[in-house]
Amino acid sequence: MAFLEVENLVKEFTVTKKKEGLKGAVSSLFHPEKYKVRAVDNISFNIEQGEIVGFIGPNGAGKSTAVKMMTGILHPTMGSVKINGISPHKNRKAVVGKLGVVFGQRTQLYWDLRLGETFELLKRIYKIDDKMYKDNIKMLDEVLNITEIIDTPVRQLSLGQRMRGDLAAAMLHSPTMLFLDEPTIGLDIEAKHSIRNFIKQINERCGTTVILTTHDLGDVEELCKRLIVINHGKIVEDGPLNSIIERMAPYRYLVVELASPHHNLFHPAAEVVKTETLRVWFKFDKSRIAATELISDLSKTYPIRDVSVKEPDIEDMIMEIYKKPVIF
Amino acid sequence: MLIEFNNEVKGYVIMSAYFYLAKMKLLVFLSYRFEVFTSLGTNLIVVLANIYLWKAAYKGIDSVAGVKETQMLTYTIMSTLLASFFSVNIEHALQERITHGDIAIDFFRPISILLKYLAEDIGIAISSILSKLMPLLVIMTVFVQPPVPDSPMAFVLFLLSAVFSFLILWLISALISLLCFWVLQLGEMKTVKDGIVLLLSGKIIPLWLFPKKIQRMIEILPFQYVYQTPLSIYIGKVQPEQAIVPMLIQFAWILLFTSLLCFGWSRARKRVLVQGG
Ligand SMILES: Nc1ncnc2c1ncn2[C@@H]1O[C@H](COP(=O)(O)OP(=O)(O)O)[C@@H](O)[C@H]1O
Ligand SMILES: [Mg+2]
Repeated sequence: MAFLEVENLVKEFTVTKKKEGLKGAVSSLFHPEKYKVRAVDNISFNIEQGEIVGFIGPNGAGKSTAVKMMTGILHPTMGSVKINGISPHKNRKAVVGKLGVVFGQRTQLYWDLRLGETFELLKRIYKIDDKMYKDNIKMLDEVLNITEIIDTPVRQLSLGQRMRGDLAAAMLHSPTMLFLDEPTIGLDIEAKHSIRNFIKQINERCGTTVILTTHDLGDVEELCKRLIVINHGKIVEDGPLNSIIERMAPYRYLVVELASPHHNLFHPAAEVVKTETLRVWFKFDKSRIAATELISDLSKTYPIRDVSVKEPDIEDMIMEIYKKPVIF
Repeated sequence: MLIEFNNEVKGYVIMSAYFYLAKMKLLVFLSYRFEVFTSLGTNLIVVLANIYLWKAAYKGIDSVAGVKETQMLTYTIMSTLLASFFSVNIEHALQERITHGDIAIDFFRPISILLKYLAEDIGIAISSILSKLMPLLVIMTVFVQPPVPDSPMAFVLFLLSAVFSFLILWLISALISLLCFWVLQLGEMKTVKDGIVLLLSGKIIPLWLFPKKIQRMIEILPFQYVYQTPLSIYIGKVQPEQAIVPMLIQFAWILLFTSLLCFGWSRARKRVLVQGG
């Protein structure tokens, strides 16, 4: 039995169509035109304890909705979630006590209180004993410098400080699993860095399983060994980062440096994707033509000074996802 | 044995979560000084207007329905004091949390959400005792008349009955806020409810002054148990030995509304939509 088991999970939202104008407003009051949006469309996967899994996909793909179902906040339309064998929907209080969650776009801290007062409240809500509380504050101070802001009212915290507070709040009760929904959104490089470091540290030190949704490719590259790629509510890829890139973007770039400027470079098995005065990028499918063959072909016709082969990165992979046609 | 002991400890700790929520709301609301002064101002205007109204109405009359002028003035003063204590915030709080999607966080905590809001409202009510009720009581005692209870027993029963009243009012508000899960915006629902409570609870005009027929209709509604019941006990219109019946009815309303709320909540729970990312 895996630690987190998601089976055939579906979430449909019923949306009322807004009609234009006064007439439309009146008519939708009496005959509301409703239609269904499938935000999450039959996804299944397992996650083992100690993994850091990146949940990626374009805006509106259904990542947040999936996270809200896994954390017991939203009830699924169909399918099931089991954490340690227990459903967070059937047995909410038993499961959520062992989970942590952070939503980058909202805070779980109390605007009216100082950060430390929210911690005190959470200590009581999660029944954290004094020793564990002290140890965790100490650990969180090492990773997030939390004592520096603990006496500040939450409304006075900067976005980066608030996120540090939110992350600390989510870890106070030593959850076995932490859900992070776009934790680095809107942060500067330095803040992003400290948050990535935090995720690495708690995963190593506490063995916390982390599910991370993000748009930030840096997050994924630095943290996640496994990726789940989701688009239009469906899982399109699930596996190690490298092999997904290999499969989604099975091509290479050949960067050619010319000895003198040359126009209209051409090769039947490769595509010119970018040109600068003395540099040309060819994109080629390595199953159609080998790099060596391409280089020797090109050097016969053009004055080439240097070449290099570039592997596609995660950004290229994301571009492929956007291009992928939707199959309903 | 060990397990039982553990449960006890846990029970205590989780109680203290609700206690802490109440305490924090109390402290936060006490810090809203401007609100304290404006509310004292409005309450003073309302209670003085009522006092002059009753003084005029009682001119040349000794008692109405067995209630003397001083009793009626006490009724009016106490009614304003109760109103300042009955500050229920759940409709506002829940609607805000739902429209901004922050309700997600509430559903993530391993505590009861309804009890959380009750605890916060109790905290607010206690802060209102300190910041709104007490100053008003002092001003009334010094400048108008001390609102003295009919007897010590009447005072004790009044306190209990007023707690019941608070719970009835809170449960009505909680039931209305549940509608948020269906319609998102309550709009004027709260104003309508406040208006109904104002008219039918005896808050301003005691129901014994209404025509008999209307009185009988209002009796089957819960509203008079919010204001009139504790106030009648306080001024001795209802003697302590008669108080048991209305107080039992108060209790029955509490039970009915609590079960409705639990039922409605379990339905609402499945409908939760979280707005925003
Ligand atoms: N409360 C809601 N009501 C209606 N539609 C919703 C609601 N929440 C999300 N959606 C829709 O579900 C889809 C997935 O949204 P979301 O899970 O937030 O995507 P992501 O987090 O990947 O950007 C979107 O099309 C969004 O408009
Ligand atoms: Mg999202």
